[in-house]
Amino acid sequence: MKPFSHLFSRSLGGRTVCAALAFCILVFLDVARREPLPPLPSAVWPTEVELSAVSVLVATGRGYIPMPANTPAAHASSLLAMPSSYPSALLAFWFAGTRESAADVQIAAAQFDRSTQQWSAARFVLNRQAIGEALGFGVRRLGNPVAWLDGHGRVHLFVVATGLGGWAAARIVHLCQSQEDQDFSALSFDVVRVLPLSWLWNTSFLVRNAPLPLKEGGMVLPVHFELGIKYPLGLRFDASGRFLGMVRISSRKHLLQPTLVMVSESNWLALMRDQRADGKVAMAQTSDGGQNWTDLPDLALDNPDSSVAGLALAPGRIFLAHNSSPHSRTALDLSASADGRTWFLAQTLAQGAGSDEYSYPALAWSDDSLWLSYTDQRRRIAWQRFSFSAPAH
Amino acid sequence: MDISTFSSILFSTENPVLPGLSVMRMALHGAWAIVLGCGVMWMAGKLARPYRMGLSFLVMLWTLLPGSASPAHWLGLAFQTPSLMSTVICLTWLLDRVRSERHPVFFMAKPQALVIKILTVFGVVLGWVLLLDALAWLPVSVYAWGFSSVAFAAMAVLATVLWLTMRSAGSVLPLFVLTLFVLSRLPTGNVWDALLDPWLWVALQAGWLINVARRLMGPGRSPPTTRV
Repeated sequence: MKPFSHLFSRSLGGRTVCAALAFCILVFLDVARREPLPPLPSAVWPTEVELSAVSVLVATGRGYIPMPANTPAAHASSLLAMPSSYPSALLAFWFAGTRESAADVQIAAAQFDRSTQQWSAARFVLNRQAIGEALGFGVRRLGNPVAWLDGHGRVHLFVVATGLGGWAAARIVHLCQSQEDQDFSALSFDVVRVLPLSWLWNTSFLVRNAPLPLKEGGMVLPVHFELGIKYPLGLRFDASGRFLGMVRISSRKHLLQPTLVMVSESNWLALMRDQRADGKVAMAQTSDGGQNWTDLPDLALDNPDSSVAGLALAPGRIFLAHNSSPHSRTALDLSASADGRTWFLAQTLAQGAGSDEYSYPALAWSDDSLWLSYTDQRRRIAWQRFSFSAPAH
Repeated sequence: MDISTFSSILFSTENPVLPGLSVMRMALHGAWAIVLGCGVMWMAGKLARPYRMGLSFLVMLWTLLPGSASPAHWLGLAFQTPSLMSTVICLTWLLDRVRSERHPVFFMAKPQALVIKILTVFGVVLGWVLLLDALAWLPVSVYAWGFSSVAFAAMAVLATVLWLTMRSAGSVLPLFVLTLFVLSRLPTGNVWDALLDPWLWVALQAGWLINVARRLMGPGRSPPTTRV
């Protein structure tokens, strides 16, 4: 007698009953394992401090974040604002090594100490070997760390890890702080997983900009696809860092590295890098908390195929750090807007000439200040701090 | 759980169940071991049976090694983990070979031809849809649906109907794969990744093209039994 033969030789009635039963059991098992549905996404302002529409930005500090020893190249910094109970106001993460995409590139971190008002010495917190060992398969290159503090106070890191090929063969690896209450000198991360974003070997997804925090403690992480075409997506996570889902932000095929800013709790804007020559900063809008997005006309701001970083501090107080010259990254500006559509120059952050490059800005709000970091000549990470004051009469 | 909660969970794409890291790591090595073992067995078809078996077994053991010594470390870097369907197909093919080449249960038995045709057409179409979706050519995100219960239920309906209507061993495979998926969530928590991977999709199309070419080139001959 053949094995499995009993599965095929019953009468049609008996088989129908078995099939219906099998189907019901399978669907029940699937639904039973799922968590209750998350609430509708609702963004939260980064500060409860009253920021008058007429208050002006005042530079209160600037410099360079210390680099780890023997690392001549640095790029793609990300800032993480820490709660007031922490000894540090900010954590900064970036990738550093002998050059971009080198095999020795690791993820570096430093903290801005509240007591000394200084950046700590930088240290490496992550390398590709450790990630590969945890995943069970190789990782060729690391880049673009993005940090987030979850609802339980744990730091999560999202990094780009390449497979077979360059950045276009990258995947996004999600990591979480190994233990709660680690101080900076002991800060370490465990791999959660590679985020499952595509059927095509899950390849060519990258992260660059900071997530948009949600009221319930979760967040929406902006990422993009870049194999041949480029399109942006938003990934939702709950308060414990559980991946909840993905939504495409734009139907256009030349936009990448979205940054999310809130206009109100459910009305958000995505501002994006334009890959095309003579591109402008591109924009999309959602009015239902990221469930559906609509493309909007490009902004008047030039975009030389360069990353932008946005942050909305309060209603009518939106900031955007961006390269403002049409064909180079020699100028880095901070622009401000009340509605996200009309922008004016708030500060010139860096101005170079020739082949100078100031790029990949990151913004954060901490200790009643607007903080900014960016890549300086691909060699180091610069930072600036601004506070708000009433204009002189 | 009341009916409205059940239905809202059923249709949501915002509450996926993903496999844990340790399970994924084991599955990566295990799945590649089965697929590579199957591949070696197939390629070594002219060797005597004991040699084929031994070679296949050695490759499987090699793939199960931890770290960069294992082929799975490098295959995973490029291609992640094979789908459950690929793994189960390879496993059943291997079992057929190990058990008895004269009395196969699954893929070399003639009554399987229609089931294989149905699964091939379904796999080829699904692969094209998922490829176009990955390249954002579709207005909706089909891959995201794969995290939902409703996509799983739809696949379960198709698998159940296939099992119900086809009186052959191969017809139980999709249902078996879905059962494995609902229990393990492998390889990614997305039902499309469990049912089809790009290499399987390529293989299905290649097999279909070869069959078409054989028919065109030899109209007087009856086509050989389809093999996967």
